[in-house]
Amino acid sequence: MSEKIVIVGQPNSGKSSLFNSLTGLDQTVGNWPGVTVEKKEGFFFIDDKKFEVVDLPGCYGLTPTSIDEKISLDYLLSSSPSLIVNILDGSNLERSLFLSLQLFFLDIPLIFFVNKMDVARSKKIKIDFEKMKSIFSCDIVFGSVKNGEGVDELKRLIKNNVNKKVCETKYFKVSDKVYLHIEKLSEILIKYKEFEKHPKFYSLKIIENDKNFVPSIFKILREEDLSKIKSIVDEVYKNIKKIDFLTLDWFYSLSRGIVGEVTKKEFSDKKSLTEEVDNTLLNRFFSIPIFFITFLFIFFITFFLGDIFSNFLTFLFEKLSFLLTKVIKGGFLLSFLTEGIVGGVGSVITLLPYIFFMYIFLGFLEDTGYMARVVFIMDRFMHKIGLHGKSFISLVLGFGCSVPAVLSTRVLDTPKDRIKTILIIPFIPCSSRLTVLIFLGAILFGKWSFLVIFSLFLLSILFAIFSGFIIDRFILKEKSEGLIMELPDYHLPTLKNLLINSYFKVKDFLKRAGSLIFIITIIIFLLSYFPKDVEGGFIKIAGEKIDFLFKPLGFDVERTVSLITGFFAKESVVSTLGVLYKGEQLEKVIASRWNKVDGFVFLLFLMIYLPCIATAVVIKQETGSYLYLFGIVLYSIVFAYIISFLVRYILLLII
Amino acid sequence: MIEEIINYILEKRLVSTKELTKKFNIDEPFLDYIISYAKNKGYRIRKDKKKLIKCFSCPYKKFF
Repeated sequence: MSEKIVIVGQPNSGKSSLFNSLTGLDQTVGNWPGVTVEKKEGFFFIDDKKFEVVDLPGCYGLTPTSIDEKISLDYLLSSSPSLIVNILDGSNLERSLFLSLQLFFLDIPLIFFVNKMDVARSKKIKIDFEKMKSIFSCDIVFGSVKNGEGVDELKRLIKNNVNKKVCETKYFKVSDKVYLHIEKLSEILIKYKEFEKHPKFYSLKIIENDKNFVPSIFKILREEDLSKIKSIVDEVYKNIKKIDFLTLDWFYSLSRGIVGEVTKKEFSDKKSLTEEVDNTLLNRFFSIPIFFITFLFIFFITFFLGDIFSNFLTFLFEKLSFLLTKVIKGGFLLSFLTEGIVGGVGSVITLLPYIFFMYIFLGFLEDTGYMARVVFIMDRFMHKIGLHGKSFISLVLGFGCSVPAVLSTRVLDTPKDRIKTILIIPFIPCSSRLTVLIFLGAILFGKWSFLVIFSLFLLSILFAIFSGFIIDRFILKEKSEGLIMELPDYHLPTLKNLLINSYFKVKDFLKRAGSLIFIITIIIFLLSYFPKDVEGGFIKIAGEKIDFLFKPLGFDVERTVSLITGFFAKESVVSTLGVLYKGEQLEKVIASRWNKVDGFVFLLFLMIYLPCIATAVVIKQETGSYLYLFGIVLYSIVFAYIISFLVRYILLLII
Repeated sequence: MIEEIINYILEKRLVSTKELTKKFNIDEPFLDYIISYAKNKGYRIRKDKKKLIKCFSCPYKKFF
C-alpha cells in the first residue's frame, strides 16, 4: 500500500519544483507566486515502496484568506496524509516559520525542507543548522531544489518519517499560556469523533474565534463541554484588550524569536545584483521600452530560427507527397494520404520549430524572473481598466495557454476581479494562436513578418485593455485594490530546464496533433472529398452557404471553414487550409492566392475571435455561468468582425 | 507585532505600504496576508491602486 505525502509551503517557496523533483513530472513551475492553484498529484518509489505526493497551493497560514488557501486547508483536514513535507524559504525563514508553527497543530507527522539555501547564502544569511534542529523535534533538510541539493536526503527521511510520532517544538511548551489553554481545549475536543484527528487545530480555531469553524464546532459540542470551553476561552481573553490578532501575533513573535536564535545576517551597504538590475529594468522611463524591445527580439529570433527548421520540414513533406504519388496510383487512398495526412497534419507539424523556439525564449524570461517584473510594469495599466495588478499574472500565463490562465485567476481576492480577468484572457493570443499567426505571417510577409506579428501582438494587448475597459465601465463596476507581489531574485536559468520545458510543450503539441487535430483533419478531408461529383465536397457547399458573411472581410470559402474548425483547436486552422487547398503546397497557395491586406485581416480576425473549446469549458466551470460564456463568445466574434472590417477598409484606402 | 501594525493603520487611517514594510520590517506579501486576515475579522482596511493602505469606518473614526 502506498503512503500519502503532502507538500505544504508558502507561495513561491518552490513546492512545485520539489514536486517535480520527487515525481519526475512536468507540472508548471513559475518564478512567481500563485502558479499552483489546485492540488496536483504524483508518485515516486523508494526501495520499491510507493509514495503518493500531493502538491497543494501555497498558503501563508492556516486561516484561509483566498480560494487557493482554502483548497489547501480543506485537503489537509479531510485527507489523512502520512506525512507533511513543509517547504520553507531559507532566504525568508521568518515568514516561512509562521506557517510551519501552525502546521504542528494538525497532529500530522512533519518534515521541514529548508529550500533556497543558495539564495540565503548569496544574501549572506547564515543558518545554524544544529540549533534549528534542536528547537524542533522533527527532521530538517537544508538544500535547494533548483540544484538538486538535499533532495536525496529528503527522500531518505520521508521513508523514515511516514506515520512516525507527531513532532513538536519546545517553544510552545515554554512560551506562554496560549498553548497550555489549547492543550486543555483539545482534551475536551478529542472525545468527539469529528475532532479526534486534529483536536489541537480546532482548539486553535476556537481561541482564534475563526468564524469559518467556531459556529459549526459549537453546534456539535454537548452543553457541559461547551460551558467548559467557554470558560477556558474567557480565561485566555482575560486581560487582553484585542483578541482578533492574538494567535497571529503569537505565531509571528514565535517565528521571530526562532529566527533571531538560529540566523545571522551579514549586513552590507552594497546593493545586490537583483537590486542593481531592477533599477534599470523597472525604471520609470525605461521599463516600457525595454519590455517592448525584449518581446520584439523574441519574435524576431523565433521567426529566424523557426523559419529555417520549418522550411526543412516542408521540404520533407513535399518529398513524402512526391514519393506517395509514385507508389500509389490515384484514387481515394492517394488523396487521403497526400491531401488529408501530409497536407493537413503535415502542415501542422511544420509549426513545431516555432513552438519549440518560442517556448525556449519565453521560458528563459520566466525563469530569470523577468516575467514577474512584467506584471509589475503593467500594474499601472491594469488599474486603468479596473483590474488588479495580480490579474496580469493570469494574463501573462494566457500567452502560453488560456486554460491554465483562467484557472490561475483563483488567486484573485474578489469574485468580480476573477470574472473581469477571465473575460479578458481570451483576447490574449495564446501560444497555439501565436504559432499559427507566425506560420501564416512568415508565408505572407517574408522577412518583415516579425514586425507584422509584433504589431498584431501589441494590437491584441490593446484590444484586451479596451475590452477590460468596456467590462469595467458597463458590466462589472468595482474598483480594484493595489498590487502586492513579491519580486523573485533574478537567476540564470539552466539550459536543461529550458529544454525540458520546451520538450514537454512540443510533446503536448504532438499529442494534440495526433489526436484532436488529426480527427478534425480527417473529418474535414472526408467532408471535402465526398460527394465526388461536387468539387470541394460537402464542406464547400456548406462554406458557400455562410461565405457571404465573410465576403466583406475578403475571406474565401477555405478561410471561412478553417475559422470554424479553429474553434476546436487553433492549429487546425492550418491543417484545414492544408486539406482544402487540395493538391497544392500550402505555402505556395497562400503566397499566390492571398493578397497582403486580406491576409493581414485574416490574421487579425484569427487573433481576436473565439477562445478554443477547452477555454470555453473552463470559463463556464470557473464563472459557473453560461451567460458569461455565451457573452464572451458572442462579444469576441462581433468585436473581431467589426475590427477586421474597419482595418480592411482603412488599409484598402491607404494602400 | 501584528496587532501593532493594525493599530498603526487604524490610528493613521492612511499609510503607505512602504512605510509599513520599513517600520515593521516585514515584506509585502506578508502584509497582504495580514490585511486579508484583518478583513476577515471585520476590519474595513483596504489597499488602493497607489499602494496606500486605508481604513474605512474604523472604530477610531466612529469614536470621533
